[in-house]
Amino acid sequence: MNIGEFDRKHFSPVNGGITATVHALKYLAIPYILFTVGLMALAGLDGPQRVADLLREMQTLVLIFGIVLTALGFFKGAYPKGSYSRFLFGITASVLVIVYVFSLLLDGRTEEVIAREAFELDLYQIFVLFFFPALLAVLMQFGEFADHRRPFLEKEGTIAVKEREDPKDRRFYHDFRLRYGSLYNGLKLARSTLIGFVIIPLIIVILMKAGFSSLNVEEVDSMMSNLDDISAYMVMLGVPMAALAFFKGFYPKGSLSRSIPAVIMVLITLYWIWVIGLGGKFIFDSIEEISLELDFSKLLLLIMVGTALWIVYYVLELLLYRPEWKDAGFPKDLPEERKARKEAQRKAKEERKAAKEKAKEEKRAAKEEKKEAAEQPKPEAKKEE
Amino acid sequence: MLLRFCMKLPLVATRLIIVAFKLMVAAIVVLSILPLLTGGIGLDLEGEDDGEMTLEDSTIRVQMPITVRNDGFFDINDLQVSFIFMDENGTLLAESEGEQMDIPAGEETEVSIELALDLLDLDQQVRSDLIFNGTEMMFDAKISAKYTLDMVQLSVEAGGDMGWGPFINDLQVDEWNAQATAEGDDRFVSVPFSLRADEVFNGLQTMTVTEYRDENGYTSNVSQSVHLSQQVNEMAKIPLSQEAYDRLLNGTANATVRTTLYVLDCSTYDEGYLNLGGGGGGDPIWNLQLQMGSSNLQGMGGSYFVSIPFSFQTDPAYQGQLADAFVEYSDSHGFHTNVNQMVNLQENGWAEVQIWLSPEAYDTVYNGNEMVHVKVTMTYEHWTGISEQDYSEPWGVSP
Repeated sequence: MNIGEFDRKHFSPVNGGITATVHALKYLAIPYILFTVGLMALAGLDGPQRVADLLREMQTLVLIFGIVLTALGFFKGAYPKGSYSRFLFGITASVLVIVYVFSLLLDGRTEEVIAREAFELDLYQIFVLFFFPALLAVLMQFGEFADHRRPFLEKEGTIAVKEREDPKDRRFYHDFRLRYGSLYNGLKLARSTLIGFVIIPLIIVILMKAGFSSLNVEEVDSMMSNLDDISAYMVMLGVPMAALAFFKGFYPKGSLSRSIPAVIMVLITLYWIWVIGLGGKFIFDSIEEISLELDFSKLLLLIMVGTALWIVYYVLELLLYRPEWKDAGFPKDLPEERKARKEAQRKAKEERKAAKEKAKEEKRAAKEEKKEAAEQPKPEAKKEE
Repeated sequence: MLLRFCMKLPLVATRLIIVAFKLMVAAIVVLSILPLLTGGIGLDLEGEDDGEMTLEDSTIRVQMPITVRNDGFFDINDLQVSFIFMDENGTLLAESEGEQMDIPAGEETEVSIELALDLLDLDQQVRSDLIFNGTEMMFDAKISAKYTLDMVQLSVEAGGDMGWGPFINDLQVDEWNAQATAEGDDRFVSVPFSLRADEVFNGLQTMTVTEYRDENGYTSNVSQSVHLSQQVNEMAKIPLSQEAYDRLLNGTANATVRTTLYVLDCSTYDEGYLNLGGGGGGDPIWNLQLQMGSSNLQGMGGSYFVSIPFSFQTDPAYQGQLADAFVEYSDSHGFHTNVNQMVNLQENGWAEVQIWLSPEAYDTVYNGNEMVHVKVTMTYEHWTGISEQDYSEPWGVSP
């Protein structure tokens, strides 16, 4: 490891402060406030003591982990992307988040208290679900490091600036070259897709099943089996979608390699909506001699039409961003580089404008000079007469 | 900058359209669900009295008005309420399909559910069961409607069994109260009989035939027209020959009398043993009969009773003596009780026992249309007589 990257010259307290504030809000302030509100509500309602004790223990954990994560966030944010220093603090923080959440289970006591006060809920199952996106968050630190390492070193002057790619002999399938991709962006989008399409729906299913089981009513058995089927579909459709989301995020805007997975994702999303919407028909016939049929397929189709508009969006995105990407020499889609490109474009534009203005001025001056010269009498000629 | 924005304008526009779509769908869903959660949409059944059942010729008509409230944000369209009635085998008996109607948002509409069941369309056995014994009929109710700009269609089906009838019950020949009369040269035996009819059958004209038959093969009968009401008490005056009349009076007739009631091509009967003169062939007591038609329920400060009367006739030699009456009562829910009572023997004896009921047993017969079993056993020295009956009580219950 290059110790020099921990040097003060790379350190930006302002950037560190921003990241620390975000971490403090996320891991310290919001959970702490939530637990405090919970405790106040319990006190007001004369709630069970064991829940209050549990919340107090959790508050302590939030304080400990929240402060450590805020500190780690400060150091992570203070160092530039692509540096070992940022990578080290970043990866430590993301691993610590997993430990933080696991410690909130309090060795099974949280689950016990919920079981006593409400219904039996498998919190470890929910933790396993949480673990996958948390793991992707760890990998995102690797991705960020890999993506920004070269620009960081280029900026440091350690390596030569990469030359722009010549678009002459380029074919459309070259869009799939790995060097155009951003690991961080891919992992980030894969993670959010996994959360939205698999983790959250599965947690909702777990909560619903736990709630239904606590009712101890035979009538909900068929509904529970429907929920199992839906869970299976969520995994079967959500995991490929997360994989496609990786490629969509990985490749830059304007590339075919981004548009194709994006369009496939939209198509799978349409099917996902159809499945989670039970094909537009909800039939409840668990209660003897009563059946309820709700046909909302038209409403579902309306939702699907709205979602299908994303296909139009991604086609337009390909067409509109492609020239820009090509002009920039097929770079990675990194925020810093995008910012630098925009700045360069702005400067070039300003320079062009200034040159244009200057040329205009010169032209006008020349014209006026000519005019003045034409208006003045020619004394030499008179003399000659 | 402006040029760049203009270049990306189609993308921005597409995103805005997608957001607008999402907002629109979210608004539609919220506005659809909200009135359901807040009770803005609902069905109100009118007062109990408004659910009217009438009999026209042979057709039973049921009218039930329902008020549908729509305080939601969207119109309810094509609201339709339909009913199907079937017998136990699933054969369609009656069908009612309401007209489709629209209920604009913020209004309420009365939907009248009409059901017509022509009794003559029923199989004779089914009809007979329905009129005299009561029967279980299966029904299927279906409510369907469109909501949320016709994008959501709701259909609710409910099925079940429904007890119908009996519309006429408790036909009883009161032979213990029969009297032989002579009018000039004509001889008669007058036998009272009684029955109960449901309010729906009030005023319906029916026919009864009361037939007298003795052990010598003598028969005679009388037909009479009876207008049904909730309590019918009639007297059948059967002409007799002088010989038959004499046999009846001297106790050698061993006669039976049967009253048959004809309603809508169905019939039921009750019969009894007539012995006006010579007693019960040596028995101290004869003609022991439960009189469930005169039974009644009583609730007194949390205690519940059923009064069960029974009648009998006593040989003059034993009148004034005491006999033991043991009355047993049970219902279909497993409630079983009995009571023992001493009874004073009289010529035309009438006694009544009070049986304690549990609150559940009281509730069963008061609010449900349940069958109970009653048995009276009278014992006098070595003589024992039994009368028992399954009785579908009308106490506080309308069929």
